[in-house]
Order: sequence, then structure tokens, then C-alpha cells
Amino acid sequence: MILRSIRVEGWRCFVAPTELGPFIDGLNIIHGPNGSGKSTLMMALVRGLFDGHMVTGAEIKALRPWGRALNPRVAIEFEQDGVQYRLHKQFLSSQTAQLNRMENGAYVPVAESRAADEQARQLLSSETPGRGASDQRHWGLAQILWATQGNLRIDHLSGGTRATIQDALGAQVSGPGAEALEKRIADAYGQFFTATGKLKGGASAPAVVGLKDKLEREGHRRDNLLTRLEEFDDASRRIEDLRRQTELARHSEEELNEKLKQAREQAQVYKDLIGRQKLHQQEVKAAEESYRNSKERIDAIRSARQERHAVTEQLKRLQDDTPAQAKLIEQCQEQAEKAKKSVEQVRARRGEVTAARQLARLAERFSRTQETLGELDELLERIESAQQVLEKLRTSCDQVVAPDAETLAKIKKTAWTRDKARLQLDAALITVNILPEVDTQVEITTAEETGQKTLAARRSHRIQGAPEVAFQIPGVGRFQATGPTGSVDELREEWEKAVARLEELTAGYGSNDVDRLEKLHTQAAEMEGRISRAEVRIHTLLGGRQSDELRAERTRAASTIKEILAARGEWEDARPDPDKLAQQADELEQRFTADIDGAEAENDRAQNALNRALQKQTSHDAEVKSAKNQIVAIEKRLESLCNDGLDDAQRAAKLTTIAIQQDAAQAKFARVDAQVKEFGDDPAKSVTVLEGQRSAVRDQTAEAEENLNTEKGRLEQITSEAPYSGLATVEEEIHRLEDEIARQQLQINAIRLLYETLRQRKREVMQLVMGPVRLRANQTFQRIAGTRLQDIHFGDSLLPIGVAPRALDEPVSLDEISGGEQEQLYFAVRLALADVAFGGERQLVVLDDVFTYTDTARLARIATILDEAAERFQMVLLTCHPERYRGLPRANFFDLEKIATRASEQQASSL
Amino acid sequence: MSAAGAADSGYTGLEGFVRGFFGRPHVAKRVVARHQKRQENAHYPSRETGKGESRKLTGWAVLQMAKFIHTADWQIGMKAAHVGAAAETVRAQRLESARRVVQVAKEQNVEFTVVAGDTFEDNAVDRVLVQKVADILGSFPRPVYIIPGNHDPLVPGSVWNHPAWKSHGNVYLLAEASPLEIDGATLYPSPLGEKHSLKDPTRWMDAHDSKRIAVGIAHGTVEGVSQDALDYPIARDAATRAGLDYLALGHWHSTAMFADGSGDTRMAYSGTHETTKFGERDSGNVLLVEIAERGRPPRLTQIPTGGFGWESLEEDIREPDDLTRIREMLELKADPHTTLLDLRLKGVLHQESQAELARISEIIQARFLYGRVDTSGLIPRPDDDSWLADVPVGVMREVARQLQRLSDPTGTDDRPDYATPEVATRAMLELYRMLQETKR
Repeated sequence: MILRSIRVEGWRCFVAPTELGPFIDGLNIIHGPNGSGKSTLMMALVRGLFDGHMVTGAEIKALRPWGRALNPRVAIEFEQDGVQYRLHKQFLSSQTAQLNRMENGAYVPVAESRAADEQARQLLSSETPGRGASDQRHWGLAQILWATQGNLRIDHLSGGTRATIQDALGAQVSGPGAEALEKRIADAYGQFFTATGKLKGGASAPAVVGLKDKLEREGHRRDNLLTRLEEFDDASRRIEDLRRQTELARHSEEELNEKLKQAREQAQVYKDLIGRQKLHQQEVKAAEESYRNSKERIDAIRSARQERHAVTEQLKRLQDDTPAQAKLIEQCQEQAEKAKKSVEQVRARRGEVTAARQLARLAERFSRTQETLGELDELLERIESAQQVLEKLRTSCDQVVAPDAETLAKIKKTAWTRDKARLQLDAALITVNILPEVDTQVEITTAEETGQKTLAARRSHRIQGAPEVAFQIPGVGRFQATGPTGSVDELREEWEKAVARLEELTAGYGSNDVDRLEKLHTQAAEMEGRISRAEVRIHTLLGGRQSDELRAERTRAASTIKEILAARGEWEDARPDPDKLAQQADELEQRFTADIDGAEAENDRAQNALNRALQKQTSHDAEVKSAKNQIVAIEKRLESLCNDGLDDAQRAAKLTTIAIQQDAAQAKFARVDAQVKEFGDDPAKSVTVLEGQRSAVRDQTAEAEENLNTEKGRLEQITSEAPYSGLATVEEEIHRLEDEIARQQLQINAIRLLYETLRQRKREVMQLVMGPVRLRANQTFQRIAGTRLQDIHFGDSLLPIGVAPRALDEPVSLDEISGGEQEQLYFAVRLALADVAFGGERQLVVLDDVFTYTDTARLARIATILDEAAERFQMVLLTCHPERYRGLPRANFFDLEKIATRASEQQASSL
Repeated sequence: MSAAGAADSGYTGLEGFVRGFFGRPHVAKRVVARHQKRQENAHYPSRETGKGESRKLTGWAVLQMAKFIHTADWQIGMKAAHVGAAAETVRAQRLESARRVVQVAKEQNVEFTVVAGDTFEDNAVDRVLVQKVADILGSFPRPVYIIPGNHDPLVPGSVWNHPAWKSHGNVYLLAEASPLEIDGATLYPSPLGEKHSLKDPTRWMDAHDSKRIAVGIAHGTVEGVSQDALDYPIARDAATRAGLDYLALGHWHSTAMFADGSGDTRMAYSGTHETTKFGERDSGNVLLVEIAERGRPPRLTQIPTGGFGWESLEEDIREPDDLTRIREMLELKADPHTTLLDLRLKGVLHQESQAELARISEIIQARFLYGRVDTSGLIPRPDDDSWLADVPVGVMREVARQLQRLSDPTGTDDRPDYATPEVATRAMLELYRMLQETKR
């Protein structure tokens, strides 16, 4: 569409009929100050082209000039596809709409009223706004070509516009009506799936989820019922098995009863045989016993008689040895007495040994005490000498009066204080030095020392005082020297204190000279050192004892010597030899010990011999007595063995008879024993085994019957549950659920396929479509803003969603760039979409004061781009800054304020 | 005491058999006395019945002909997993049809009824069902002879242990494979004692020397009848080989008759009295058997007893009109409330047929006892691009074309695991539906 002119009347600030035009194909700049009606003019263009003339509502009523009941009217002349049209609309009252077409140089009506609205929309590819006023969604392609005041941003593109653009781009994304269809598909998908493509759960889960849960539960029920059916079959089979087992057990019991009867009969026969066998066995044993008894008696009589003979012979030999035994004992007793006496004689010599030993010890003590006494005398003499030296030193020391170290330090400090005070005092005094050429009398009236004084010639004299020095030299005059007053008194007082303190400290030492006092102190210290060393020597000699103790010890030693000499007076002249005396005592003791050992050994031997002789005699007596007792016992036994009333021959005959009886009994036993052995094992054992088997079979039968009853009970329980009927119901429900789930799943899968196919196709087409747009937009944007922001990213809606800075691969949100750059980016996108969508087809671009935040430098670049764009598009710029575009030679300017004023004046003049 | 337990009880002959079945001595004596009263010369076989010997269970008069109802495979308690919410109704209907069998027996004035096995679906069915079946059979005034089948074999814990059977004197469980003389005929029953076996249950039967009408009762698979696993095989000439006048068979749910070499039909499956599933043809019947005399071929009459119709329809869709035709056919269907319908559609799907397809589904769900529509065989018409014109140009149209390609089972496009042709077809239909909604 190309705009040729627009005329408005009764429209907000345009009360009078105001017309702008003709507009050129290139750049048209409508300028005017704020409030001159630029945006109103653009709104009139929009309402006139896109709104139905019958539209009502507050938004339309607001088009009226303030305080006037005028009906807004607009007439627009435009060109579309080479044909020129004029569209006229009146709103609010007496609404009219008429579309005229230029034919043969004159406009002829094409459509009126709603038809005019509709045809205009068709011409402009716009969309029906519905009942209310139109908004940008209904503007058709103008959504990208027209920007309202300060708003280059595009938030939304209608589906129809997108499709038109995409069709124009040579690819297809979505056509008119697709948006509603896509929404339905998305809504249907949203009923079943989450935004991340997962099947919904929880309260919003589709019914199929609940059905699957129910199916799972029914599946568990089916499994349980199938298990019960298996248990039913198992129980049934077990009952059959148990019945067979019971029958077999009964049959086995009958067979065992028959076997048991036969075994019991055999056992009775066997038992009788065993009885007879035992009887014959007892007979054999009795015969054997009788034979053995007779034989043993005969043997015992013969043995006793032999034994009696042997013991008698032994007794005779013992009685023959008795005298020799007695004589031996007598000899042994004599020898023992003799040895005892010898021992007693040796023991009597022990006193001599003891006396020799005591003498040796006394000599030893005497010698040792004498040595001690000598040592003590020497020590006491050395101690005495050392004490005398010490006494002399102490006397010398007492004669030296010297300050101690502490006092000396105080004296030194006080003397230093005094000297320092003196120096300060001297410094504080006014000093007059006089060097007279001749002796001169001077009368000092004011000074430290006053009075007359003679000053010797050619000698320097000093007069000091404070605060002034005054003196008079007769014949010469009176002299007075003054100086600053100050602390002379304080200094003097300090000096005097120091002098007094020094006198006090040195009063006892005869001098206040510090050097002298220090020498005295050194001398006293040396004396004390020598005293200390003398004390140490005495202390060392005492060895930690007192001298009285040493003297007491010497007294005890002398007393001991005296006592020993009293007992052994010969030692006073000739001192004894302790070692020799000790050796003599040892030799005496050795001889005594050897003698006593020999005597005692002899005594022991004699005593042992006597003891052995006595023991031998005792044993001999016992043997004699034993032999006599044995003979008596044998006699008694023989008497007992022979009391059967038989003699030896009769006893032999009886033994033969018993042997014959024994043979007969053994023959009977052998016959019965052979019969028993024919049976092998005891048949009673078989009876026991068979009885055990029968008992086991009966137990088995009872157990089988018990199991049978148990299984019957179990079977009845299962039967009462009617598991098959339950299974039938459950499987029917499962089938029903599976059918329903399959049905719903088919529906869900179909919606999913529809949705995902749509998404996939859109993604593919978008990639194809947006390539050229992206390239062109990036080029324009970089011409304006440089290369800092390099790549504009587009979303599925064809609109920019971000821009990638040069340093980053990932785009940043458009909200993160400046307001000016946002304007420039959307301007570039709009131009790119228009360029790519319309190619060489010239279209109207309207920009209403849109570069609000753009700086002057970039505006200059934009102006250049606008100038270039004017070669492809008809540009209408509404601005309050016409000067920015004055440099564009091909621009066509419209001063809106002047035009409006002229229109008002014309209306006023016409009225 | 179970019938099987009769053999273990130590009783012999008829008293043993009856006592074994009913468990109570006084009942057994009464039953025996009732038959002895009318058969002065009757003799009772020993426990080990030998060839030529037979048990006797004769009635009021010796008849020269036999007329009875042959039924089998009631499968009471059967699961009906494939019919959704109608399962319970289908199960209940089997009892209702059992009553109809008894009614037919009464109307036909038959002497007795034979149930050739599988009266119950399983031995572990609800005992209430056992009582109901016993009561239904007990309502027939004449004898009913039952053999256990492979679904309800005579084992411990089986349905035959239930006390309900003791409360009806006319119901006889034939628990032994030995001849049993009844009024006018000798029965050769072959009760089953386990679920599976490769033993021919008719092998023991030999009626060649019998002067009486010989009727065998067995449960198994006749050679040549298609079965997944051969169970209890029965020779195709079992009846003639055993010298039977008629061999009443159970196990096969469709009514089927087997002619012998001379063209006479002496053995047959009555089929189940009530259809059990879709695709089960010629079921829901009993057979009226009439045997005029020994050696004469029986006359068999098939009498329907089924209450529900099980219809499987497979329709080929070529044009949109085909669906309209099917819808009209369904609307005209008689007794839809007793009909279970399995409608399988295959062919091509036109987008404009969506409404018709939905209508068919609504009719089936609203009117029929049970119905399912399988559209997995429908694929969108490959050249049907007409609806694409309504799809917004651009991506949406590309999506539609992509789905169209994925819905083709022979297509070579890469597809996600879940995106089967059926899912793609459904997705396309969803897109079409949404498109229509956005137009409103």
C-alpha cells in the first residue's frame, strides 16, 4: 500500500478539515511540536483503514474533539497494486463508509458501509477486529511496517501475518486460521502431558493412568485367583493320591497280619526248643561241677601234705641258727660303748679353742683403738691452729671502718646529684669575670659571696650571684650585672640538700671523698674474704662435727686403752700382734674339729652294727613263729579235706563215676542244640520286625487319612471361594480395562503425534524462514550500533528473543541491552522483515516518533538508512525534530502545525 | 461321598453305584427299590462288570424305542472377557438357555435327557451355580443322565461333590465307564476323570451283542475336527465300531453330525446350548434323538435354544456410501438388545465419513446388548486430499500430509515407536475434528 493523502475532520485536535498530501513514494516527514496532532493523525490512518465504521465504545468516543459533539471523519487516498483508492469513513453518528476507486481519472464507488470495511481489509490483508476497535493484531502487515509513538518493539504477530510473511519468504510456517488450530492442539496435548512432555500425574493425570493402576490391581487379583485354582487342582490331585495311599496301606497291613501270624507260630516252636536246650545245658554244667569238685579235693589233699612237709623242714633249720644270733648281738654292744666314750673325750677340748679366739679379738681391738686415739690428737691440734688464725683476721677487720656496698652506692649517687646541682647552679648564676691589670680592691654588695675582696693582678676572678651581681671598685665605680631571674633558689636548695645528705651518709667514715670511701670499701671486702676462707678450713677439718664431739671421742678411746691394759698389763710394754694371735686360734680350732669328726664317725659305725644284729634276731624269731603257725593251719585244712568219710581209693572211684555221667549229659545237649541252630535267628525277632512294620503301616494309614481330611478341608475352603467364578469376573474386568486403556492410549498417542509433528515441522520451517531475515537484520543493526552486538536470535513467532554480544556465543535477553539499542534492534528487524517479506514491492512504512532513546550519532546513521530505505518503501516519519532529517535531500517535509493552523483559519473564514 | 467314591465304598451293583453317587444309604435303597419294583427279573451287575454284563436302571416299562434330548457344553460359569460390561448378562443367559433346554425336553415329551459333558466351565465355579443347574435339571420330570467332561472332570472337589445333586432324584451322574440299562435302552457312558488325555473315551464301548437300543455318551474330539490340541480323540467310526445306535458327543460347541459309511448318522455333537463367543458357527442348539428300534438309524432334529445372537460382521469400505449402507442395515437389525455384534471395518476412510462412522458407533452402543467396532483396518484414502484444502496453509498442512503418510502401513517415513498407522490415522481424525471445531 502506498499512501497518497489523508484528510481528517472532527478528530481530536483536528476540528477543522485538515488534509496532508500528496505524499511521495519516498521519504515523507511530518513534523510538528508536541501536541500538534502527529499521533492523532497516525491513529486516524489506522482507524480509517482497519476499524469498521460501525465500531462503538469509549475508545472511539474519545476520538471526538474535546467538548464537541462532532463525528470523526477520515478520508484516505491510497494505492494498492497500482490502483488508486479513496476510503472515507465517519464514526459514532451517521456512520458511513465508502470505498472509491480511481477509474479514468475520477473516483467511483466500489463498496459502501460494511462492504467497504471488508474490502479495505481484504486489500490490506488485515484481519477482522470483531466487535471492538482494532488493535495491532488486526493490522495485517502493518504490524511490522507501522510503529506507534515511541514503540518500535513488536510483542506479537498474528498468525495470519506470520503466515503472510512466511509465504512471502518462500516457506510456510502457519497460515491463516492455524493459530486457533495450533492452540487447540496444544490444549489437547496439555490435557495429557506436562510442559516437559511427560504424562501428567497426580490429580491432573489423565484417566488412563487411573485405569492402568486399576488394571495392575486386577492383575494381582487374577494372579491370586490363578494361584488358588492351581491350589485347587493340587488339592484335588493330592486327595486322589492320598486315597490311593490309604488303600495301599490297608492292603499292606493285611499282608503283614498274615506274615505276623506265621512268625508267631515259629517263635513258639523255637521258644520250646530253647527251653530244652537250657535244661540239658544245666545238666552238663552240674556234671562238670561235680567232677571238678571231686578232682579238686583229691588234688588239695595231696598238695597240703606236701606243703606240711616243707614247712616242718624249714622250722628245724631256723631253730638251729638261734645261739649264733645271740652272740653276735653281744659283740656289737661292746664296740658301741667304746666308741661313745671316745667322742666324749674329744668334746672336752672345746674350751681351749674358745679362749684362744677371745684373746686374738682383744688384741685386735687394742691395736685399733690406739690408732684412733693418735688420729684424734692430730686433728684437734690442726683445728686449734686454724681458729687462732681466724681470730686474728677478725680483729684486723674490726679496725677498718668502711661503707658497705649499698651505702657506697648511695654515697656515689648523692655526690653525683650534688655535683650536678652545683653545675646547674653555676650555670644559672650571673657571672662576672674580672682580669685586673693591678691588684684591685672590690666591694661586693650583691653576689654569692659579698664583702670586700682583693683581686690579684693578672689573674682571673669570678663573681657570681643572682638575680644580680653588684660590686664597687673604688675609684672606678659601681658595677651591677643583672640577668634573667629564674630557678637559682631551687637549684641552690637542691644542691644544699645533696650536700647535707652526703654529709649524713659519710659521717662515720671520716671522709666524704668518694674515692677514699671506695678504697676503704675494697679493703674491708678483702678482709672479709680471708675470714670466710679461714672459716671454711675449720669447717672442713671438723667434717660436720663439733670440736666437743671430737674431744669426747678421744676421751672414750683413752678409756678403752686403759681398760685393756688393766687386763693385759704386759701389752703396755709390748704391744700384741693381733694377726699372729688370730692364726694361733685358727690352728687350734682345726685340730679340734678333725678329732671330733673321727670320734663321732666311729661311734656311728658301732651303733649301726648293733642295730643290724638286733633286727636280724627279731626277723629270725618271726620266721620261727610263722613256720609253726603254717604247720597248724595245714593240719586244720587236711582235717577238713578228709572229713568226707572216704579214703584215697574211694575218692578215685567216685571221680570215675562222675566223669561218665558228664559225657551222657553233653550228648543230650548237642542234639537239642543242633535243632536250635537249624532255625538260624530267633523267629521272635521277625515277629518284632513285622509288628514294627505293621505299626508303621498303620501310622502311614492314619497319617494319610489325616492328610486326606486336611486336603478335603482345604479343597472345601477353596471350593467355597469359587476361584474360577472370581477369575472369570476379574478377567472380564481386565479385558474391559485393557480395551478402555487401548482406546484412551490411542487417543493420547494420536494427540501426542499430532503435537510433536507440528512442533517438529515448525522447528524445521523456522530454521529455513528466518535465515535471510536474520542476516539482513544483523547487517542493519550493525550499521547503526556497531559490531558489539553481533547476532540477533529469533523465536518461533518470527520475533527477536535475544542478541548475542561479540564476546559470547549465547544470546542475552533484549531487556539486558540499552533502551536505545532496543529501538535500533527492532527498527532493523522491522526493516529486515519488510525487506525479505515484500522484496521489491513498495509498501508504506510509518514511524511515529520512535527514536526516543537513540543518540545523535546513531540517529544520523539511521537517517542514512531511512534515506536508503525510501528507495524501496514509502516512508512516513512523524517527528518533532525535523532538523535531524534536513540533510536528506529527497525528503518531503510537512509542517503539521502550519497545515492545521491554515485549516482552522480557512474554516473560520468560511464560517 | 462322591460318585467316584462309590467304587471305593465296598458296595456292589446298583446299590453301590447309587449309594456311591447319593451318599446316603436310605436314598440309595429307595432308588434301587423303585426300579426293582418294576423289574422282577432284573439282575444287578457286580462291581467288576464284565463284558456282556450290564448294570440296570430300568423304569416303568420296557420301551421299544428311545426318544431323548442330547445336549452338552453348557459351560456354566464361563468367563466372557471379550464382551465388556455385558459379561454378567452373557453368563446369566447360559442358565436361562439351560431352562430352555428343559422346556424343549418337556415339549418334545422325551423319555430322558443326556448331557454329554462340560456342564460347567470349571470345577471351581461358584457353588450357587451348581445349585441352580441342579434345580434346572431337577425340574425335568424324567431322568437326566450326565457325564463329567474335561472342563468339569470327576475329581475330588469337583462340582459333582455338591449336595445339590442329592436333592433331585431324576438326575443321574454316570460316574463309571460301564453299560447301564435304563428303560428302553442301554447307556454306554464315558465319564472323564481328568482334564486332558489322549485316550479314546469310546474305546471300551461294545454293544454288538446287545439286543437293546445302545446309546453311547462321550466327550472328546472326533478325528478331523480342528482343535489346537488333541484331547480325548474319538474315532470317526466310533459309533459303528462299538455297535451303538447313537453316540452322543460333547466338547465341540457347534452342532455337527457324522455319517457312517452307509450314510447313516449315528454320532453327533449337539453343540453348546448357548453360543459362547463370536465366530462360533451353528451353536446354540440341542438335538432331539429318536431311535425307533435297535439297529435303525436315529432321526436327529436340531432345535435352537440359544437366547443371544453373536454376529460378526466384516465390511469392506470403498466409498462413503458404504458406511451409510452399514448404518442403515444396523438400524434395521431385529432384536439388537439380545445381539452381540462384532463389526470390523476395513478399506479406505474418507474424511467426510467421520460423522457416519461416529453415528454407527453410537447406534451400536445404544441399541445392542454389546457391540464393538474395529476400525484398525481402515486407512485414510491416499488420494483423498480434499479435506486438506481446509487445513491452514503452511505448517499445519504439512503436518496433515505427514500424518497422512504415517497412516499408510506401507509408508517408509521414519516414525516414532508409538506412531503406528492406526495412531497416525487417529491423529489425522483428531486434526480433522479440531479443524471442524475451529470453523464453528
